Amino acid sequence: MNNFSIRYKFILFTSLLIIFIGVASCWFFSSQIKKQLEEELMKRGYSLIVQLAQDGEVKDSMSVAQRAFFDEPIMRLRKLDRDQELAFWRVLLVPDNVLLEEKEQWIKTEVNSIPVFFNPENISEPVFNIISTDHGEQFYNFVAPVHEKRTITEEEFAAQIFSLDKKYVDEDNKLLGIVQIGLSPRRIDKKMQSVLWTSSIPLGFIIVFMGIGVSYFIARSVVKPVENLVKLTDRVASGDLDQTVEIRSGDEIGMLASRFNQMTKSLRRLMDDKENVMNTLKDLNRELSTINTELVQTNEQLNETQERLIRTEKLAAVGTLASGVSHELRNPLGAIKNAVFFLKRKLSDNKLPGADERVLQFLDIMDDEIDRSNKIINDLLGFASLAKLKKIPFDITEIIEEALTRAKEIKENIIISKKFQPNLPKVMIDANQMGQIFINLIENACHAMTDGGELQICTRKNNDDLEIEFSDSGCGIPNKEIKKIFDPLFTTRPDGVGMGLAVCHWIIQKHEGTIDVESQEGKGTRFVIKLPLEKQECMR
Amino acid sequence: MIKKPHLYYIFLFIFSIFFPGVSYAFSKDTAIIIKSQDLSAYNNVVEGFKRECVDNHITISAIYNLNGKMKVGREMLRKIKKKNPDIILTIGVLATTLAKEEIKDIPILFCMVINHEKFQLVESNITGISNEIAIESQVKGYQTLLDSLRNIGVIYDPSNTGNIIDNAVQQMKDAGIKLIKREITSSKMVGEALHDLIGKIDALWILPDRTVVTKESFDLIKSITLKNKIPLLCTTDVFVKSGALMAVFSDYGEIGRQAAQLVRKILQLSSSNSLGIVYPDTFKLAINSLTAQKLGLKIDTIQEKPHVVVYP
Repeated sequence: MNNFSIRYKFILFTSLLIIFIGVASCWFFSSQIKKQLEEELMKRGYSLIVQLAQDGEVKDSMSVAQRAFFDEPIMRLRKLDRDQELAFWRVLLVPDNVLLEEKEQWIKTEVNSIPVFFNPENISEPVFNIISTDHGEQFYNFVAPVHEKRTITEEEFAAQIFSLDKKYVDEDNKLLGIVQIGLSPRRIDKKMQSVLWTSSIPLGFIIVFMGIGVSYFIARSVVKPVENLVKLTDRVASGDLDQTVEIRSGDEIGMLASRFNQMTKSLRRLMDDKENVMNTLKDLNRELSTINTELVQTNEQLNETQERLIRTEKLAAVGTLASGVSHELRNPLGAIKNAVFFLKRKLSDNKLPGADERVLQFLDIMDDEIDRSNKIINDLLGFASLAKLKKIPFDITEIIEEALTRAKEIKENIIISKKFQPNLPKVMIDANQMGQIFINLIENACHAMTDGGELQICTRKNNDDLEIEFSDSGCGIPNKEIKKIFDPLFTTRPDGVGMGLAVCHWIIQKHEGTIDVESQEGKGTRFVIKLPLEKQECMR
Repeated sequence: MIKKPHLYYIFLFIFSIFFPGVSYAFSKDTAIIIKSQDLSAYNNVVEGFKRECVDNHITISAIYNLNGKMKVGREMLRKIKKKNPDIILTIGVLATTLAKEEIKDIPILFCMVINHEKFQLVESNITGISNEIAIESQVKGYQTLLDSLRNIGVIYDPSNTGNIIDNAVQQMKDAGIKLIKREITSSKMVGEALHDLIGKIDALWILPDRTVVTKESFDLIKSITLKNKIPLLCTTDVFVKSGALMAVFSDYGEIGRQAAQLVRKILQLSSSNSLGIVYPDTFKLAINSLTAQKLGLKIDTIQEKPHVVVYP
């Protein structure tokens, strides 16, 4: 019931109330009519019984106890019974001798089964009661005493009316017996049936239908504004604050609508304020985000710059150290190499007594290490000699092709894939140094693909840059080492000096380009060199 | 020579000149008067009848008093029937009803029968003078003192005065008066019916209804109406003497006079012995001056009129 709408509840309860009132009205209406009809029947009954009791012929007949003499009085009685309600009549002589008892043919009950009034001495005036018989019939029973026709009461009354001061001597009136008549309420029943079907039930239906109709319209007039209010409240709850309720009355509903409008107005104002604040916050947030991004970028640039500076400083220091140390080491190494060469020659021509075979092996080792040391020194000297660039317009593809021919590490199981974009502009570069870079990258890639693989070399123009990409399918570089690969003297190879990629980075930097690396361990490494074309691009 | 028969007629002519009563005796009709009982009202009727009989050449051969005894009365009627009078005047209901039962071939004129409709006194040999004044006359009589009468209340038992009321409703309406009725079946209901009428009526009309008017109920009616300033209107001066405001009633001597005149007419009828029921041809207005004073009514203008009787 709590989930039902107010309209439903209102119509339900009002209809129930009206139905109750309708039924009660019909019942009251019917009962009043019945009461009125019963009263009329009683009056007619009293009138008939009094007429019968005062009929002189009845008195005479009772005096002589002659049943046959009742024909005329009964005929007169039946004439007076215009509505044919008289059902039975009975004359009882005192003390209990039934002189006459007859009934109309249309009643089912036998007259001798109708109760007899056996105490005539106890009544002084007409009495009335309702009796029911075994046949289900009901009778309005009237009983009146009959006194001897010695004189008539009207004459007593005349004495009173015409001469109030005269005292009329009321002598004893001998009680002859009683007369009893029964009136059938069948006319009342028929009338009540008629009233029921022609008045009460139609009236009840009219009351009920009109009541339900009226309650529906009242509910509609009361509940509809509330329903509209609910709908509008839902719309307001969903954010539509422009909704207003039309105020049509000054009653409580109208007041509610007015308050609702005030509330939505306040809400709308608050929501506007909130939206303004939110927009301001969003703007601030956006600005902060931009600033933060810029700061991050700046920080990254700073870090990168710092790394480059450090790397540059390192390279500079390494260069300075290399140029100093290399000269000092080169000569001794040359002397040692010559000595080793002499010893090896002597030992191979004239074997010394007691000389072990392993001496020659050691001399070979020394010779190799001297070569290696010289190579390192040459590298260092080469790095030290990179201070100045000799940039001229050059076709990058040619440099790559030359580097591929010069690279020593390329084995047969390595496939070289080249994807050079045709008609690439020439760039201002130092071709020797750039070729050295490409050789380093190719040899590093080949070195990483010890079991073979594919080296893919691509060139392309990207906006204002010329991109050269070297992708291998080698072992890849661990994440912890990838940041250090451009640092000088960092190497994972046992025979490496750790200057190759550092030199590459340094040279690219000198060309105002960038070199980036991506690597996944076990899948390969990808180097991308970007050289700016804006300043370096030349006519072909 | 004058013959004997001729002498006889000459003698009668001379005798009638000198003794007219003998002539009347020769031509008069005989009437017998039967009173129901010995009431002064009945005696007044007898006296009025006697006075008028002289002028109407009617001889009253006998006057009987039934003294309210039915058996005795019935015996008397049988004897009277043997006397074979020209007409019988019955006074009161007992004498009338017994005469109706016993005598069928002699004209009967009744009077002083209250509510005569109740006794079905309609026979070919019966003529009657109603005890009630015509409604129209009653209203006119009441309006001589109460000219603003609009609503008159009446308490009645339908078995006694129902016929009167049925006739009175329309006649009152024709006279511009609404009759507000309350039915009762027992004198115990008088008080309740009267209280129900208070506030709705300008006056209370009392009919000669034995259920309504008893010694006790009349006292009750009188006190309640006086307390509520309701004029009490009656049809007999007896009640005015006892305290009712006014009554339009027939003078009993005049009833006797009218009866004698009717007797003459009945005896002159050739084909029928009945003139039906007629109203009294005159009426009087009885007013209780003390009651009028208590009700604030002035009777100065009407008390000098010849038909007005003021009590006490």
